[in-house]
Parts: sequence; structure tokens; C-alpha cells
Amino acid sequence: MDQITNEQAIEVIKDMIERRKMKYNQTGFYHLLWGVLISLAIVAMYILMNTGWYHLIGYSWAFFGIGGAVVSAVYSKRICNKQGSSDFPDLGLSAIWISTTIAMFFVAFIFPFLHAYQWQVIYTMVCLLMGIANIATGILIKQKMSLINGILWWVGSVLFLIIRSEVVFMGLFILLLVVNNIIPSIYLNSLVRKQNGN
Amino acid sequence: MGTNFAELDPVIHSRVRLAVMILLLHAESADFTYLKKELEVSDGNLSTHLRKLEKVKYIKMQKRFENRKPKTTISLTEKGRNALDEYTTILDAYLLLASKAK
Repeated sequence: MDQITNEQAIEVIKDMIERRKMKYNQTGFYHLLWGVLISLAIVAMYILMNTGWYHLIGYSWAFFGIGGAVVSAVYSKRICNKQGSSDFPDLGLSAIWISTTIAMFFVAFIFPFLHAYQWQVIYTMVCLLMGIANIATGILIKQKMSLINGILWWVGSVLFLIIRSEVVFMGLFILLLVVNNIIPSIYLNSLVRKQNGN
Repeated sequence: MGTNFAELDPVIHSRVRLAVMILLLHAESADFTYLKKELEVSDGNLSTHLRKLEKVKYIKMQKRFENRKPKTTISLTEKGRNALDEYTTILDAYLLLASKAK
């Protein structure tokens, strides 16, 4: 017979829940992708600012933002097809990151295009949005690292309002990207490799 | 004993069927191949368990073709969700009683 004991039933439930948790360690790709794209957007912005091509800054943000959104969507669809399941947290994560990308697009492209904001304010708002997305992700998939990343983005957003030096300003943003995106992506990828037994 | 517990649903109270229900609880839908891989069971074994769950309308199976290959998608029904909810409530009560008895 295939009937089980009550204790075995609890073990089955725990095991299945643990499998779902392990799946979300595979988010390292997104951390890396967005870390690299935002770094490239910052470098492009710096170059354009120092070469007098101010009017192209918005387009460069749009290019990296839309590029990232397209790559993320294609990657997410491929992973979903490969895994063969579409989870409710997956849908929640997609909703959070798509809405964050749209909001960042407005902040980083539309408003400067309308000469509505200063660059310092844009950095601050990008940090705040990254903080919201990371904290929501951390709560949704119960991942402490995303929660900490979110808090660090918010701390960064406060520092951006205080700092005046352009060099310190960019250095801090790149430091935040390394700590919040590059390091987590390396950590999560190593965790996935360990889970797969490689 | 004095305590009159409802019986645990025998359709759910099996390793494979319980695991299928828990996996589907977190998913909008899942493929047959995904469930087979996660549960480490054979095609025949999984089909048998899925048919039992489908018979009592705890799950819904949809068959279609994707890139000319047959694909079976499975999802939990409202009845299945309620049954699993009831199952875990009774199981919880059993375990609570067992821990008190120790």
C-alpha cells in the first residue's frame, strides 16, 4: 500500500517546501545582469557628461533599462519552460521587477528629458526603487540577503542626499552595485552549484 | 480516548500524492515532466497517482501540443486546495495530540 504515517507526511511536506526554497537561489543571474547594466549606464553617463553629450544621457539609460528588461523577460520565460512550473511567487517577482523597471525608466529617462530633476536626485530615487524591489523580493521568497540589500540601497539613497563630490558620489554608487548585485550573484551561483552537486 | 478525530483523507495520505498536492499548492501550474523530476518517480507511477487525484477532482490535467510534442499541465482545483487545507489541519491536530501523549 502507498499510505504513509503522520510523521512521514510531515517529512514530505517539509521536503517539498524546502525544494521550493532552493529554487529561489537561482536568482543570481538577475543580480548580475542588473549590476552590470546599471554599472554600464553609470559609466556611459559619466562619459557623456564629460564630453558634452548631455542630451544623450536619457537615451543611454533607456537603452540599458529596456535591454535589461528584455533579457530578464526572455531568461525568465526560458527558465519557466525548462523547469516546467509557474509559481505564484514567480508571478509576484515578475510584477515587482517589471514595475520597478518602468518606474526607473521614468526617473532615469523621462524626467531628465523634461529637465525636471537634478542627477543627484535621480541617483537617490534609483536607490530608493532598488531598495523597494529588493525588500519586496526578500519578503516574498524569504531571503535575508535581498532584505539586507534593500536596506543598503536605502542607506545609499540617504548618503546621496548628503554627498556633494561627484567622484565620491559615483564611487559610492559603484560600491553599492558591487555589494548588492555582484557579490550576491557570485554567492547565489555557488549555492546553486553546491545544490546541484557540482 | 474521548477525542473523536476525522479521518485523514486517504486520497492525499500517500507520499507521491501529498507531494504533488504540496508542489501544486505553490504553483499556478506544473508540467508532468517537472513533477516526475521533482518526485523522482516513473512515468507510470506518477500517472497512476495523478489519475487518482483527478478522479476526485483535486487536480485538473490539460493536454496540449507544444512544438509538436505532447505536454500535460497539471493544476490544483479549488476542491483540491480545500481538501489539502483540511488534511493539514487534521494532521496538525494528530501530531499535537501525539506530542502531548509523549
